[in-house]
Amino acid sequence: MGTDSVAAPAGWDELASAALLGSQRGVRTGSLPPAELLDAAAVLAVARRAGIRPRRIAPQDLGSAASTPAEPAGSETATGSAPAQDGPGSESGPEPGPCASARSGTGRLDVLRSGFAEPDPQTGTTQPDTARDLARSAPALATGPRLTRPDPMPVDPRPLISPAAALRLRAILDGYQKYLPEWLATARATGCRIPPVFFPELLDLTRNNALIRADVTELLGGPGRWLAALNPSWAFFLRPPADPPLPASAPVRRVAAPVADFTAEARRLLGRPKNSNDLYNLVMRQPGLWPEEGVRLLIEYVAAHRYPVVNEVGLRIDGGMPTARSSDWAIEQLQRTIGDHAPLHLRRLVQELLEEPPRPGAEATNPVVDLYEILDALTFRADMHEELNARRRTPAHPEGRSH
Amino acid sequence: MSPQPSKILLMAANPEDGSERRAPVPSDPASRGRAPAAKRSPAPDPAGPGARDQKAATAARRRAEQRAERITAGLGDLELWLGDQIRTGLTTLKRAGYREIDEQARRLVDAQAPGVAGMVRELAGALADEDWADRTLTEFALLHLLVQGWRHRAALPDPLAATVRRRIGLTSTSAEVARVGEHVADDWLVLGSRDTFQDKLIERRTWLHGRASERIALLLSYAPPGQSPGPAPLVGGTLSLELVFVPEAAPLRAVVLHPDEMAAQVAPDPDDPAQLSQEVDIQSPACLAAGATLDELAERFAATLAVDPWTSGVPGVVAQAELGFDAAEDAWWVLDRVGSSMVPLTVPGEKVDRLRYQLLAACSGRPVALFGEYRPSGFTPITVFGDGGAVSV
Repeated sequence: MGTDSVAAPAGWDELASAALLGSQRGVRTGSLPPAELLDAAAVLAVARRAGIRPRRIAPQDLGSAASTPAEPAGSETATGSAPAQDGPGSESGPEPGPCASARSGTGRLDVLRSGFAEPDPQTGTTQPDTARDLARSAPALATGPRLTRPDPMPVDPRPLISPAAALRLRAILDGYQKYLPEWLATARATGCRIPPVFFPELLDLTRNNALIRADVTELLGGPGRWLAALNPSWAFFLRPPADPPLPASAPVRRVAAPVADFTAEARRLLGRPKNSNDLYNLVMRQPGLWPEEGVRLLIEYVAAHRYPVVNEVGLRIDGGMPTARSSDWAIEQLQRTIGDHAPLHLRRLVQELLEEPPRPGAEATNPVVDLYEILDALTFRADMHEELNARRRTPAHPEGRSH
Repeated sequence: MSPQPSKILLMAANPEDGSERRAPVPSDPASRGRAPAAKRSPAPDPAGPGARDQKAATAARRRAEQRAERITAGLGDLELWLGDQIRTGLTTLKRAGYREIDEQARRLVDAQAPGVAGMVRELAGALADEDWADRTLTEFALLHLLVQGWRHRAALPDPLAATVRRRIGLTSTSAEVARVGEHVADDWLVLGSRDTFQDKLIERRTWLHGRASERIALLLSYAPPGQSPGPAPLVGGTLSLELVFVPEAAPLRAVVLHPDEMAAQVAPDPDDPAQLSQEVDIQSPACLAAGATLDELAERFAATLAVDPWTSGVPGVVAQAELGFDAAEDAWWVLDRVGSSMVPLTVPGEKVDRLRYQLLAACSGRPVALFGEYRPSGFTPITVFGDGGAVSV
């Protein structure tokens, strides 16, 4: 390898051609040793990348501040989204300049050759004048894109949720969507708004879940409708919600209505000695938050299943009630459901049960119920509420910004 | 621009020209192995470490030398392979498919040069690209340059030699960096944070901007699958830290000198409502100071290339960015309202449409400060400093 190769007269195209066909068969480079070809290519490759510059914005590139919103990618109704004022090749087109093409999203480097001057292999610099001349000689390629910009999003004067609450929403969307309805309802009650970056995911979820529609509509407000108008997939969001939210034929409506006295029914089922999933069915049909008394019964019942030996002895629940025996599956579902729906202040009860010393005779047995799972879920939800309500309790906090 | 490739190639041609060379960086095991004997084996100091420590140091040096030999052998094979492909033509390689590339990458992993192995694997993507001939030749040229850089690292300036080592896959410990790197204590604005899954590890990249130093730093942390690299700093928040920059040609990577201080600042007190409701002041001078135009980012990228020819992009904040949509090409652009220029919007991953709309929503149709990576192919947003605060996209 010699230094002469750095100043090789061959340009990039010649080197690429030779590399493509084989270095010994280059049309203009002749027989060039691979090392020398790569030496020259290294200098040119770096200089080429260094020479790429952003494209100048010309008035012709932009839509008229977008009285028409931008059409979504891949939309079949892209009419009106390209307010072309000058056709390709127009003399009043954008000032040509070196740029990469706009095949966005793919990360492909696709340099428009007409707008890119080969850099001087000695200095590694490009020659703007040459680039401009080349671009003018190929006006069809040099014409810039016709861009559309959406109207500005409507201002939402409500305060923004805290960053911690936004992080929690991120976590819920990523992996704990079962808590989303509760989060949305709580956030709606605070009167805050949520960062617009969450709008696309919430709109996608709302499309298939009418139960959260009202909360999402309220939380997203005008900015949400602004975004929904830009994507035909979210057109449903612009229509008034159907009333009632669920059709009468929905499966959830076919099950028996929740019992009026949840606590009494729970106590009755707990008193049955047979293995049954009735208790699980009862709690799964209970909408919203449960009455505290009923949940206390359930928590103590689940706690009693921590130690099988206790199960055999029988735990005293509410005055000598015998302990029902349920399948492991039902117990597991029960403990999850308690964690997800129980009133949050009952977290203390779970904590107390966890701190209780093992009952006599139960030390050597393995627990079959993990109260920590209930506690984790309750803590997650408690943190969720805390973050959302922290702003309301911080009087010194300024009003939400708006543009 | 002062193209570093020319410098590397010139030094490769004239290895005796080591006028710019300074003392080797302590973390350079390979260079240390090539240093004069007096430096390799300093006389025992009665006040210095004991014989046991010396023995351990000798063993570590021997391991480093062995690794350097393996890397040299692996890169020698790679050089032959590159030459063969150029000689027979890249079309032959394209026809051969991924297997040959994968085989070459495996050999480089065996040679303990994981950085080069990663570059070789990227050849598969280059060969599948629409502009595959240009891209593949570019990747070949950069690999060739890296081989030359490693072979003649003793003649390179220290920062460039350090860059070559890192690109090869030789890393330094935090203690080594703390010993030789540049210390910068500052209030650091968290510009962005991103977790990716690479090489069976979760990699967290956190970008910071120094309020006084006006420097951008990149922190890296790793965790095995299923575990977290630790609490992520709040994007848009500020951390008071002393960082140590890894001494390289284009210093960007840094380590935290006192990790405990960072941990204390990153984890908010859940009992403090004020902390939970803390909002990022996106109009703060610190945030706006990090802003630049796309032209300035292009200049910064070119300047970085001049000292680190393998750079793929530079981080930066576009102070007044907007999005534009080109319906004819189904393409999105990032518009710089200050510099009156634009580049394509590049979005990694599979959920491209959702990310585009997230970005559109976060920008809210108004000029916002947009942090991301500028590359020749376009701008990849990482954080939007907009109406919704500082949000990662």
